[in-house]
Order: sequence, then C-alpha cells, then structure tokens
Amino acid sequence: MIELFSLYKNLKAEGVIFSFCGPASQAVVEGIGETLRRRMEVQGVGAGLINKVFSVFIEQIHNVLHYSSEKLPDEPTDEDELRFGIILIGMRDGKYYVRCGNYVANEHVQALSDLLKKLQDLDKDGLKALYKERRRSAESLAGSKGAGLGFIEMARKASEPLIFDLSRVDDKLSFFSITTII
Amino acid sequence: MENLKVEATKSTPAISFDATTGLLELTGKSYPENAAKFFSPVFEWMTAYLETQSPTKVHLNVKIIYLNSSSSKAFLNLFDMLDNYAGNGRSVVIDWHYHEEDETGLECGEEFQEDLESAVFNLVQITGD
Repeated sequence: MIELFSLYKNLKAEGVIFSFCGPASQAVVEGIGETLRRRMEVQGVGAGLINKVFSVFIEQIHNVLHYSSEKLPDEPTDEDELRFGIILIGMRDGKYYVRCGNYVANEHVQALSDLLKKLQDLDKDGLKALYKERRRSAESLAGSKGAGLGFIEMARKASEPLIFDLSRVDDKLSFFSITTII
Repeated sequence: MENLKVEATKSTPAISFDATTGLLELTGKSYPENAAKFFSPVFEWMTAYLETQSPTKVHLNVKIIYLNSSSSKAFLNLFDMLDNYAGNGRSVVIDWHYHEEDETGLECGEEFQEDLESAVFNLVQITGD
C-alpha cells in the first residue's frame, strides 16, 4: 500500500488545503463547502475571494454528483446515487485552484471538449454573454440535474483559462480532469 | 390561499411567501443538488398566486448570499414570471440585497436587472455585519 505520510507530504507540496476522493453526495458538498469557507475566513481571506473559490468548488463537485460515470448503484435511479470523483483545493503561486476528476462516458467526450475549448477562447464579456444566453434559453437537459451553466460559471470566476484533459481509458470510459485557477 | 413557508437548510434558502400581504422573501444560500426539483413548488405557488389572487402589489425581497448556476436559472424563471405579470396597474418590486464587500453579489443582481423589463428591480446595499 502507498505510504500515507508520503501521500500527505505530496499533497502538502502541491499546496493542497483540501482533498476528497470517493463518492460525492449533497452532504459531502455541504460539509466540505462550509469547512472550506470557515478555513478561509479564519485565515482572513476577503469575502469576494472566498465566494469565488466556494462557487468554483460547488460547480465542480456538482458536476461529479450529476455526471460522473462511476456510480453506485449501477442501475439508473432518481435518488441517492453515489457518484465518484476526486477534488483538490489548494494554493499555488499565490493563487487558489480547484481541481476535479471523474470518469465520463466516451460518447460525451467530444461535446465536453468542444464546449471547454470554446470557453478557453472567450474573454470576460464573451463569457458573460454566453452565460446569459444559456441561462435564458437552456431548458434543463433530459437526464441532467443542472442547467448546463456550471463550466461557464467556473470560467467566469477564473483568472486564467480553464485547463482540462480527457484521457481515454477503454472503449467505454475516459477520465476527465479540470483545473480552475482563481 | 395558503402561504408558502420553507425552512432554510445549509444549501437551500428560507422561503416565506405571504399571499395576503404580497410580501415574498428568499433568504440564505442556494445550491441544492437539484435546483429544478427544489424550486418546482415555488413556481407552482407563484403561478397559482398570480392567477387566483391577482395581487395589485407584489414585493419580493431577495437576501441570498450565494447561489449556484442552476439556482440562478431557477431565479431567472421566477423573476420572469413576476416581470410578465408587472404592468397594467400591477406593481411588482424586486429588491436584490447584497453586502457592500460582495462584488459578485452586486454583479449577479445587475445581470438579473438587465434581463427584466417591466418589474422594478432594485439593488440594495447592506453594510456592516
């Protein structure tokens, strides 16, 4: 087994202040979210920055909760599904970052990649326009619990373009990872 | 008509909609797991309220310190209902409260304000704690 102290030191060396790997649930979202807020408040971080980091964290972990392909139970249900992912929140070069990874079905890779590439090319005004357009037009997609606005929201809170990767794992799944630098 | 009262949780706002006075209030944080599902009773109440009570005055106070993107969609739907109802002698006022240090809250309010036509949408600054 991996030596825990070296894992711990590696995370610390990455500037990680919070890590989570496992099944997400709304209780986990609330628990980590509130703790993250408290930790930043105690350190005297300004309200504006706390809200930005909190907001990016919520959008990322809700993506895991809504879209991760690794879930229990395997059969589709409406309630109480556990969907798996990894989240890291940390600081590097004086900037907060929120990173998130989870499995996605290969059939969604192209659309995801197209959307994220589009967001990387937009400036603040372009992102605002797209956000408002989507907010007004987007019906909640079938099988989707969100409004499809999460990535745009992340990009708007970020100080640098979103960084993402989609690595093919087998003929069904890819691993999706995204980094938002705030 | 019954009033709508919902207690706040860590991730959902307190809702207090009074059908008699026309005073409606949303307070707290909003990042439910499924915003469409959480807000569906709110839309139902609002539809019934506007149709059956035909109020001449509606005043919605929004005191939300954080809302996620899917809640933002739900809020826009709610504001749209009120915006479409406003006019023809019917007064609709939405007061969007934000803390003086919360730039995001102000921006968020401004972006709703830009999207509405008939309802009065005020940006109300809160100072201190």
